[in-house]
Amino acid sequence: MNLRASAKRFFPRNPRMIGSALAALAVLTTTATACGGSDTGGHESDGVPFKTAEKGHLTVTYSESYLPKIATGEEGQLIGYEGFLLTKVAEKYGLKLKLKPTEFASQVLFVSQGKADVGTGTYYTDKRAKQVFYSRPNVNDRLGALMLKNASWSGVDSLKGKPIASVTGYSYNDYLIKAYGESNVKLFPSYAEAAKATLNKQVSAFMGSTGTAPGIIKQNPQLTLHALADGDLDLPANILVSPTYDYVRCDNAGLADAVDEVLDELIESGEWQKQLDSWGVGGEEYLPSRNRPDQLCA
Amino acid sequence: METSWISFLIRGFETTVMLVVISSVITVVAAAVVALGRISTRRSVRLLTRVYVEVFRSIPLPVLLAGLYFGFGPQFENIGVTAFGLAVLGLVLNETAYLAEVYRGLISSVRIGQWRAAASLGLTRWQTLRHVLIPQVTTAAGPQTANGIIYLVKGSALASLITVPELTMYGTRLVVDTFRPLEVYLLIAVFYLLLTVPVAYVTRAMTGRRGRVRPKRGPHTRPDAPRDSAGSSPQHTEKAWTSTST
Repeated sequence: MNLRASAKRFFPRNPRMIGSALAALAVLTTTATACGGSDTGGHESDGVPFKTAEKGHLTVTYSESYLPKIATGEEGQLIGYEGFLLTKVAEKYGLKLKLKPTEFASQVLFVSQGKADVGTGTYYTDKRAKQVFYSRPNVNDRLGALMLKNASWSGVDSLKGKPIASVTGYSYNDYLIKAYGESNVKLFPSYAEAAKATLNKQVSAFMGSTGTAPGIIKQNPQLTLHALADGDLDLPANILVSPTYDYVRCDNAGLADAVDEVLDELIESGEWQKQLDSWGVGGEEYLPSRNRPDQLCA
Repeated sequence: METSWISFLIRGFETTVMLVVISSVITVVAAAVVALGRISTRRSVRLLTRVYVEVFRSIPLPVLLAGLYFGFGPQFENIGVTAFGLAVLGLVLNETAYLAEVYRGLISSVRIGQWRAAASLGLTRWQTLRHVLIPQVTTAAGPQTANGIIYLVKGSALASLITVPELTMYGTRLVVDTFRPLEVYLLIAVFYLLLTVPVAYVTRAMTGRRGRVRPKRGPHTRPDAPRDSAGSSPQHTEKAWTSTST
């Protein structure tokens, strides 16, 4: 059978089906263009010096089960130290909290597209800073390998050739892939699933941080965190020890001011330190600077 | 959109293609076996396959995949089954249940007279299935099989939930890196179209054109004209074969 005959057999004699496929693609494009990005301007609320996605509500997006930073409590409230901070912000301005937990990879888009007012627990990168406006940092994180206590650990090289968990969207994933190889770095949709895989021994370690590990260790004492040392995995210093921020829409810097103001009040009153201590996140290294990072919002 | 996006997404596309091809082959074979089990003369086999169909077509695919990976993952890994293997297993278990019912319906739609005719010729049940019934339903099964494979293509996007680095996962990574979801997801849609559109053509080529009936001009196509096939005659009231009629 010649090539022409083969082609005739596999493809239609008339182009109607190809036309249908192209038409479907055109419909898809039109729909996506019409629906893509809901850049709402936000609502003004009485006595509130910033805009909110929904009148009278402070909409928060976060990773579910991301303790000790943030999570949904049993009664539908926010828990964790960042949850505590945002609850105080809502209380101060008479707003109700509206919770929008989602995958880490979607959170910056949730805020930049106006679906949520504030995002949480994120490191600074230039690309993110072009999308959202950062608050001042609330805690410093040092990266580490979350592992079972009985698993052998003699430094980052001891994990080479073994499966390592991380979460899709984490800023240090590229460094992990470079160090351990793409096939060994298993990307999970969320923190909870990556931690579960570590407990199941489906991965040898989960690359977490000092700011997040205490929560999972509190729930699962068989785990421990091996903090990474300077120079490990060729990580830049600002990735190895990274301040963690909340962030808001580029045109809603007033909300970042409000978050920072409440954080300052909590630090001054000593309540913030109590929160960190209650979760086992403490020490000089974890106190971040008061300065906001470079804002690159358009 | 940059050309580097395409080369990045192709890495995930390769995994998606592998996932779909392997799952499709296993699903089609398994669905045929389960369909035959559904019309088996043995009650226990009918019951077993029915339970399988009812259970696995009722479980949402994300739940099935997560359950397999986080529930049985460690045990499977002990015997060398990776996340990719579990994704294949999840897709196959889910889609086989659907497709088996489709195949069963097609076999059941064949007129009982054909079973009787085959029996009168001395054919065994297996010979009747192999030489009489299955050749008749193969053509009709083509579009349904294509639908099933397209479902597998779409279902493969959920494999990223259990760390399989397929197209959607690469797409998500690209969105996180570029913050241009519209362009990235449109590009991913094109990749999926590249997989799904040829499925219909390939399935049609494989099942042949034997069953295609085109209306012809002439006396035979008049509404009142008698048809030469007894089974397709509107006056023909012969009962369709069902598993309970055996």
